[in-house]
Amino acid sequence: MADPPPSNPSHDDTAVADRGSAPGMPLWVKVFGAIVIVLVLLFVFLHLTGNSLGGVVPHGH
Amino acid sequence: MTLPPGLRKFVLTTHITASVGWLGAVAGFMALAVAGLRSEEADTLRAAYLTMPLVGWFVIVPLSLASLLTGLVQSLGTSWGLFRHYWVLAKLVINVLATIVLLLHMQPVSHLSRIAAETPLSLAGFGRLRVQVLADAGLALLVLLLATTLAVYKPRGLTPHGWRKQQERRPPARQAALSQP
Repeated sequence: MADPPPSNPSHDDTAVADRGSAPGMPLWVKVFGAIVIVLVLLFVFLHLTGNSLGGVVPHGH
Repeated sequence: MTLPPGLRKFVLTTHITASVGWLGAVAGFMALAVAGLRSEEADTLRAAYLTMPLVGWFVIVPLSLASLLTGLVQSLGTSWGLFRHYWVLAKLVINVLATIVLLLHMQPVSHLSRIAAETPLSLAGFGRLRVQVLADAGLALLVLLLATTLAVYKPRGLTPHGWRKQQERRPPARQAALSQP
């Protein structure tokens, strides 16, 4: 859902970039990244240890 | 590569339809999971768990793949790019992870369906598995709502790659002015 493409020079990102240095990572990105890492680690841990809610599902009939 | 306006609109329409359709299909799946968890009647159990893999394999999985594919085309074919804005990157991560987890967790759904087809009342012994299916649907719903929110609000934030690309696009006169002390 990336529409319309950015074209407005008064866009906030442009304003930040006008300062002459690369903008820092916004707080929401740090929070999002931390949540993703925790969820992925939790998912991998639960599946490797066979402790997911449903336990091990038998294959076939 | 920039898509022509007509094609861009078409891909965008397809992307929105697939993404929102995915969200709606998961909501329907969740209703089935709730019905299957709460009911003790054989007919309801059989109906709920036999319908789940059909909705999963023929509606949710195709919509998730269509959402991912059209999202990639839409971002790469416009000036938004795939790695320039954090919100686009966040949506990509959500989409890829949700699709992987969905494909992995279709296995317990198919397993419950097989049991429901043969001995629906024996599903009582698979309480944790039925809860897992409901929890998966609930988590998927939250994650897809988050992706929709990101797409609408487009929170600001350029990645270092996006910032470099933006600098490259600046007119030389403006770049010179910016470099003045």
